[in-house]
Amino acid sequence: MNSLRQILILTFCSLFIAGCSSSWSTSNVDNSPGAKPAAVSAPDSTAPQKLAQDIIVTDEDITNRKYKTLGDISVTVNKTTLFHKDPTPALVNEELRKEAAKLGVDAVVLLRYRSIGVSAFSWGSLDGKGRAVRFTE
Amino acid sequence: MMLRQIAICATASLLLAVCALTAPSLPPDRSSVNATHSLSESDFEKQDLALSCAMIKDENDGIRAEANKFNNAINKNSKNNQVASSIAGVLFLPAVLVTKQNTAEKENLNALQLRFNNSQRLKRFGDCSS
Repeated sequence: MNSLRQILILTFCSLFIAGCSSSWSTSNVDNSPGAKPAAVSAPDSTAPQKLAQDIIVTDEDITNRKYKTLGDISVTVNKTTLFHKDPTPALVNEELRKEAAKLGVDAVVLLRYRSIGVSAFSWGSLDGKGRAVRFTE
Repeated sequence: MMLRQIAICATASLLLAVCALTAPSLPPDRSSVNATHSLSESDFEKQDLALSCAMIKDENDGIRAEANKFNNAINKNSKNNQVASSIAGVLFLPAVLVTKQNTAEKENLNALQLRFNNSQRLKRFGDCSS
């Protein structure tokens, strides 16, 4: 009887949480790995700031324009409850763009994803990493 | 009694957390104007240097198609893992043993990512357009 009560409470809690946002995310920026220390930079206040949706995100390198690396961004999008949809690459891209916009970059290149699955803190996560770059010409 | 359940949940969570992997690391920067090292022929195998831009593009497309297959296998299994984990966490801890971590697929994806990194460097070294 007691056990049934606990299951009911857990079910109500899950349904209550299910009404909230379908995902939550964490992010991290590692400044200029493998780049000259002088290039380690905070957002450039003189450069025109791009809107998140205007930032290019690609799994490839951009070879037809020169660029400066500002840092590596990693983002993890987590599924809030068992009943929500699994996080998609599109959601990860959205989060990466938001982080990239804070750095004032033009593109995030060399994107890669990995489905993490269930962990101690999430019902399913998708991890994404990319290199934040600003065009120099 | 409640403490025991919390301990069981914590153990199951830790077991699952150990199996979690993150996205493959980014390669060292060899492409930007502020990179500490630029690319040279010694960074590539001889047969790689013989590839044309079209061949590099085909290689990229092939890697993507192969990676999709592995990703689909992982995604197909993720729902089962979520249900098994919820049962393990709330009702029956041994249910955690039903979860499948797709280790082989993830290792294959890591290997494919390394090939993709190499083909991106080749693209840059060979001045192939984006």
